[in-house]
Amino acid sequence: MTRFRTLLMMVVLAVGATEVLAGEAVTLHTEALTEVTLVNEEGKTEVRLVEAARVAPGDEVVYAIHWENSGRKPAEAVVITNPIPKHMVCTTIEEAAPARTTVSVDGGKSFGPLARLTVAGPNGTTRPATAADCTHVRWNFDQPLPPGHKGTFHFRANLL
Amino acid sequence: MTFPNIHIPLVRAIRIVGAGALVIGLDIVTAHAAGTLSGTAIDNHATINYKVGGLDQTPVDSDTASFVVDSKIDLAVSTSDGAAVPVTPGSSDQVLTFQVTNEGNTTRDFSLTAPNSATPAFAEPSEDFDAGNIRIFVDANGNGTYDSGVDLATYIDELEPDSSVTVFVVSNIPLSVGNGDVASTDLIAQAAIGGTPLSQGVDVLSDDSGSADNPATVQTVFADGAGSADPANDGRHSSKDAYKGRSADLNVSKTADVSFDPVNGGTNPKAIPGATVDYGIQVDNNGTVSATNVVVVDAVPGSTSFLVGSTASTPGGTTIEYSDDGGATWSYSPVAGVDGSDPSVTHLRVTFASIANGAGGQVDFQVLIL
Repeated sequence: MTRFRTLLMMVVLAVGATEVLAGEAVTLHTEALTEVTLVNEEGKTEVRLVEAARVAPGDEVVYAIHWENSGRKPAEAVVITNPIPKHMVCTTIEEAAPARTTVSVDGGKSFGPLARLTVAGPNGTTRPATAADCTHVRWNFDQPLPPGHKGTFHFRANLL
Repeated sequence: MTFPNIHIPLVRAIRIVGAGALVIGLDIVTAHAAGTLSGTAIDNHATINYKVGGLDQTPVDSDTASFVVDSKIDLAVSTSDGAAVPVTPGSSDQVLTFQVTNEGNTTRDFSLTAPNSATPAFAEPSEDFDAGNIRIFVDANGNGTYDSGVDLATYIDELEPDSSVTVFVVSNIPLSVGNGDVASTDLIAQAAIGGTPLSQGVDVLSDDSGSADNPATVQTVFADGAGSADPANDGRHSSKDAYKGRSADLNVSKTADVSFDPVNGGTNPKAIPGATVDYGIQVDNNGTVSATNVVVVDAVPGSTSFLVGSTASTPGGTTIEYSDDGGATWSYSPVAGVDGSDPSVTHLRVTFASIANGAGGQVDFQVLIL
């Protein structure tokens, strides 16, 4: 019965939203990248981001999250959530306008600015959370995202 | 409204259920000091939630960015011998003890070599000799002690990340080795391909730094430090250990003093016929171990006669034997003549049962000048 209702709601939602949704979407694309230092055509040393192909424990990966409102209407209350991949420990999270960056240190139950979060320490104590404690990264857009707007957020993590 | 527009949100709705489960369940990742095991796929994806016209839209999942963890080849060889291992010249199966640790993220075999070193271990002042018949064995039962006939493997088989194994270098020590002589040996471990138990894998002599990166395959990266006999990032590591000869170092000295003559008695006696001469033989052990069964043979000088009963010796356990045939046999028992001496004694043989290192032995006897 519950299952049927859920299905029914989805169909209703889909039908109800069809007018707006036709061709409307925000898109999201992620990349795992690594920094390589190379000498360019001008003979200068250059750091480039390339697809993460050679990654061994201890190496840093730069995750790029590309977002775009490819629809025709503004997207409101946009929230992008990225769980930190398994076996990775977060090192740096990019503060990226126009979004507010928050993180979770409890597996995604709650989110807040990293500076305000604490985690349990030994013997019932707590300590300030660090990037390494993050389980999720989240970017909240306070303003509607106009059609055609796009951008990229980054966070960096080390392979354990 | 077209059919695909209805269909796509449904498919997405199903995918979101899976994503939601991932968010709720906090995965426990086993922490390896050596790092995430090679071959592990690392996937990243993000989700976007949004509204349009105040209506919640179906959240959108990103594609998945993925790569597999490459194989970091890292190892450490160290010796648990805190100093050069003392050995007796001529001894066999003398053991140097090493530990080999797989600090990489892949289970591997390791091949082992132990060349003689040109430079000494443990800041010893010089490299003096080469150990003979060098063999290498892996500790089979994990007891850290070389067991002859039990520890037989000559390569390390299937050493898991973060695991260590004890390796013994076993050698024979030449008889010619002197006290304090040093022979150093480097144990070199070379990473090899693992995965097949009880079969020695092929050495990994180069990593994949020269080949194109591939996010879908496990490639190798050398990450080892420099060892005692190998540079960094070569898939090897090494450690130097040494044997140090330990033997007795004996010095013999002899003194002679005239203690009596028939004219002056004990006052400023002179070496005239009928005088008594006190001989003292001192044996000092300046080596690092005690010497046993130290034998000193001394001839009774010509024109003198051994004074029977004049011998005294330290330490206890010292035997004195006599010869009347120039040292051919040692069963003669001296017999005192009228002057207290026995001219038949040609040689004395003194056997010290043991002279400790840093100690000495002394034997005294007297002769009569004929």
